[in-house]
Amino acid sequence: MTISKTVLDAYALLDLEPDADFADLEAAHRHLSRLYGAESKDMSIQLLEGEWGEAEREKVLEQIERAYGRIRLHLQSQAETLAEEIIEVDPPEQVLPLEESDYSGAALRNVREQKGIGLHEIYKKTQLPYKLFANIEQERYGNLPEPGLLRWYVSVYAKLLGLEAKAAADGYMRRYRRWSSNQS
Amino acid sequence: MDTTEMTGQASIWAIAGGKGGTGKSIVTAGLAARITEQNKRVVLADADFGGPNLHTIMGLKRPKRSISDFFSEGVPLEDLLVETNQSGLMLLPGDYRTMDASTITITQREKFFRHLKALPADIILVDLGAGSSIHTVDTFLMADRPILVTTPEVTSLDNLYLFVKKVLFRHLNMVLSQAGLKEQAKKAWRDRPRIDGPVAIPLLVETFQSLSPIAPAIINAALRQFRLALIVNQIRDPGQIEVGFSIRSVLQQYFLLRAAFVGIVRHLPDFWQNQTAEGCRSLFAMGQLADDLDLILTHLSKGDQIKR
Repeated sequence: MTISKTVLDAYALLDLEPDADFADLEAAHRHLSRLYGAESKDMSIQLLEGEWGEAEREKVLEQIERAYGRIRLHLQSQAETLAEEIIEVDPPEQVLPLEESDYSGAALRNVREQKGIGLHEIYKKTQLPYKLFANIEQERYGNLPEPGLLRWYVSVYAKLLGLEAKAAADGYMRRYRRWSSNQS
Repeated sequence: MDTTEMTGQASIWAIAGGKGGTGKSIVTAGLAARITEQNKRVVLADADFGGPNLHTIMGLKRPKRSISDFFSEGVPLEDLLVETNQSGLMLLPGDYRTMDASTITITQREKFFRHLKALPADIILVDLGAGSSIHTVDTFLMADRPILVTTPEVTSLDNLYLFVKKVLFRHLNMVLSQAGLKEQAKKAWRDRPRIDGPVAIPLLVETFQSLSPIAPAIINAALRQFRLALIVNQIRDPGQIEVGFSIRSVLQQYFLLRAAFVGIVRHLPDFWQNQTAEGCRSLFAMGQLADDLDLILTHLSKGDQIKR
């Protein structure tokens, strides 16, 4: 996939490496929003406050938001393209009946380990960041992409483990929603 | 861009940071000592006029002749080099007679660089003094690798940004002058819009860009080509590493300059007790300081930087 110059510029603006994933993007966005935010306690920002001016700083914040949105879109379309390919080439060989409550990250990991599938194999098949699947298994929800995309990832992952993709995604996302409603 | 490896000439690294007392000279000498461990020949040049101390750090007596003999009497640089107790590392001692560095002309500085490059060395580290004198700024700009050293304290950052600002304006002025826009640049500077206090750098750069149809291309190329390296010294706890990330981002957003955050040097609580007549040799040989410096060198050679 070719990357446009605007996307490359966005990576540079957010100080991200080309192999950054959603978690890296979120971390950079959080850091920069705090750094340039009105409440910034950063020494550098406070030192330059007098000459930089609020308007200029807000302009930087806007640029950061734009870059953030651009990279999100880029990562999503990249992941979607890959996910589509995977779903087509990997028919499940064996569907395991599991209770809905059994689709926790830990349970998914158990299934994976019982089948002797390494995380690196999943990475090899999907070309999606290794960290992503580790985060899914560890239910580190804060580091995972937005729900729509996460659902897709979980179903791809479940399919690779030979599970029924829809049931797995439903079960996993129910747990996710419980967490996210507790957040707000 | 450091292309010196292909030409066979020495690569010049200039180390500055604006504030004194940040441990810049120790870092510079330490980097020099660690580079010799890679079997490279290094010259350590003390360009801190009025405040030289690299010879002390290297455990040497005050040398009779110094860098100022090159500028005032034309003594060849090779004749001024002294051996150190580190094999492969030569020292170009600093000036003790408080020569006025502002009397050094551009022609002299260019000659100095030509002669430095011709020395039998792979890498030459130039330790620049505190402050933002024209000599310091210009030497920094001429180096193959300009390296900033700071500590994570507000006073250091204050002087660091002042230094970077001078470097940026000098750099832009030089490229605009070379493009025949010297007078316009001067005028733009004189008429810079000052509503309330100093004008923001991004705005001023915009003013420069509007000087002529070719100005934006010249300025953008100059900003793109100038790559800084940043080292944060005397880190006392891991949280202070954030200061480096902030500096890197601010350099990009406000000063429009790209910087690689190439490393940190952790604070050594018993640093002063560890110094002997041999200087800092044992500290450079192994241990925490040596490890931190090696990581910086790895990042510099690979064009890499610290990641979160």
